[in-house]
Amino acid sequence: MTARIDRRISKIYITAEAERDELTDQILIAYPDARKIVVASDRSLDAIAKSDDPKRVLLLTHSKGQVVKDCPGTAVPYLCCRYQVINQTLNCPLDCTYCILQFYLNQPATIIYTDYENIFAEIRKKGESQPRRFLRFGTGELGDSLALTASQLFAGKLIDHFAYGLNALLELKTKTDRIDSMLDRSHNGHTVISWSLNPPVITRREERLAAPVSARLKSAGEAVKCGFPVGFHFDPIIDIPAGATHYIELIEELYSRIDPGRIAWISLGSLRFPPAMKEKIIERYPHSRIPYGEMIRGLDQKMRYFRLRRIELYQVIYRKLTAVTNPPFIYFCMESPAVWRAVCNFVPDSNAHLDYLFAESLWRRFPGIIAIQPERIDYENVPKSVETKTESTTV
Amino acid sequence: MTQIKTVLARGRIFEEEGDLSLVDSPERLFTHPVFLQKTDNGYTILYGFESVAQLRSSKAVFCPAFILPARWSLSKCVTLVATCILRSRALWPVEIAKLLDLFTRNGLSKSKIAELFRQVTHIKLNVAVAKQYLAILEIESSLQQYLITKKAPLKTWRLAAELPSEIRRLMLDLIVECQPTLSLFEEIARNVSEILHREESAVDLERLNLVNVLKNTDYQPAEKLAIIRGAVQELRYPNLTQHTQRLSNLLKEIKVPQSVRIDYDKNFEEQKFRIEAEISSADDLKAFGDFLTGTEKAKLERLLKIL
Repeated sequence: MTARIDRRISKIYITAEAERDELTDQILIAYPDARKIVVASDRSLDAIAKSDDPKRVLLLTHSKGQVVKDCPGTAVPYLCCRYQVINQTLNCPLDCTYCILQFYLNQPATIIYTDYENIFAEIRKKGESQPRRFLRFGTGELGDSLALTASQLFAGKLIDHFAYGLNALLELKTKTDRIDSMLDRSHNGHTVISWSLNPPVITRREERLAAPVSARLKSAGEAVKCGFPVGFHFDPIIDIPAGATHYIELIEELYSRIDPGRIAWISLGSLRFPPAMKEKIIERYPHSRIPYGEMIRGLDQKMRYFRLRRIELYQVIYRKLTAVTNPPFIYFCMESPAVWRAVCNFVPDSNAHLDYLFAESLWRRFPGIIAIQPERIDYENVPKSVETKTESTTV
Repeated sequence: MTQIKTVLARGRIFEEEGDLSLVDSPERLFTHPVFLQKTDNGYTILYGFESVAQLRSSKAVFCPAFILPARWSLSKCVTLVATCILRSRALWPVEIAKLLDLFTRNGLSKSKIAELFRQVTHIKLNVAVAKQYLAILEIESSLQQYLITKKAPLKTWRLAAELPSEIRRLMLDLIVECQPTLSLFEEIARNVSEILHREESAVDLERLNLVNVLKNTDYQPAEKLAIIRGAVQELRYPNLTQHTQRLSNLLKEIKVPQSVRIDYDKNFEEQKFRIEAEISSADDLKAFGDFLTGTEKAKLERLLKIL
């Protein structure tokens, strides 16, 4: 798995400004067989690397704008959790049929920002602006947190950075089993390693190059042994024949390997994508069946399964996930109040409330991680400059 | 002017447009050009089959035509003809497909084919593009004619080409019997295609018994079209269709005052409905108040529950 994904990297472009960075040196050592090309700036890359496969080419450079942002979420009325995204790796070497990145990102290379001190400064600034709010950050929004060694090297530094002194938590989200280099790090419980999960019948068909589910769960077990809280994302949930049975079996497998008490959170989110992506999936992945589900155009203009069908699927999964003592914190990613109500018999009042519920759950279930007891008011009074936007398009 | 008796037909690549029954005149050469290629015995038609046929049927002796030299390769000839057609209209996908087929069968190298193809069509050729166009040649000629007449875009041609031949024949029957608009044809064809992809079999389609609907003389064409459209839609979106039906049945039960309108999200993403009332008199106000508090209130509560 490890060698397979990294071996696919054939070329590394390095902009002049990134040439002498510590992270650049480490990445170049990690890819001894890749061709190294220094370019004046990332703008000149458009012409040089036009015909390259962006999944097989890295661009090491410095960020030009903000790397740490509020998760764009999605439009109201769907609820979002006010996550913070660290967009240090832009693109993903895996090949999932449903992935929006391959249509959303149009750079000729997978971008890796090597000026990590600047990124750390952005993270600190976010925390300082709301010292009483416990923030959740993650690198898995625009790429897999651990699939590439280039991303892992940054992730390692992030674990160290989050371990002490920040009222925040880092999430490393992956579909791989590449966690070995993370396990010995001193994380102080402030890093959650999480895995996206789907039944094997789906992963085999729709998640090329990702690790098998059994390997992901084995890695999760190893992470737990090393004291990491872990997370799981049933996202995207895909509606397949006998899907309920497959998801139940998956949850049984999950709980047979991982103590629910060590799971920081589990998210549920059904398949969703912009309408234009449907034709592109059909063209690019003719074997995939996901474009043919019973989908409607949601209120945020994304294609989603018909609400009652989503509820049916979620109810089965939610009931199974909560049928244990000390069940993990379970939330929906980008779901409507109607769905929350129908499945959980409860609806967060707002995105801020959902954000608070995360902190409250961690405070209660993982003592010691959060320094200040969460108060709801601290989550409601978010300064205007850092307030989560819910109108932009999401990934 | 060419003696029409020396003109021979050959495989047709390009389709003609416009009124071909115009009077015979030299101007015809420009309004409905005919391209011929010289052969040992006479001429073969490259473009203008219908024009020649029309001239023949009107007992014309001569045919105004552009004559291309016998030494020119067929590829060169059709490239010139295509360039000429492109001055007045875009090439139909089936014409592009035939051009590609011709280039391919003429033993040209891959790079030469790509070059010629790009020169004529301005389309960059790769394996996927070639496959898509060549599949269009499988479409039955009567369906091709329908798509040409309706000025169907490439995506509709591709959709038709992807359908299994037995389904295409069914779609042809639908065209003959019901003469659907292009958008209706597309909707039905797309839904059928997606059902087949999802189910990986035609079992459900057989259950619809579309053939019998089409042959049923009790129905008018518009009724047949509505039945088939509805049945295919239900098979493609079973939950949504059933839910819509439930809502529709309940709404029929609710006695809504004339000045009141009930609206809800047709995709059912929101579990709520909106009531719009236009109040222009005390009677309107009373009717609206009664509507919200009287016997219909329970039905409105049911509506909310179902939504």
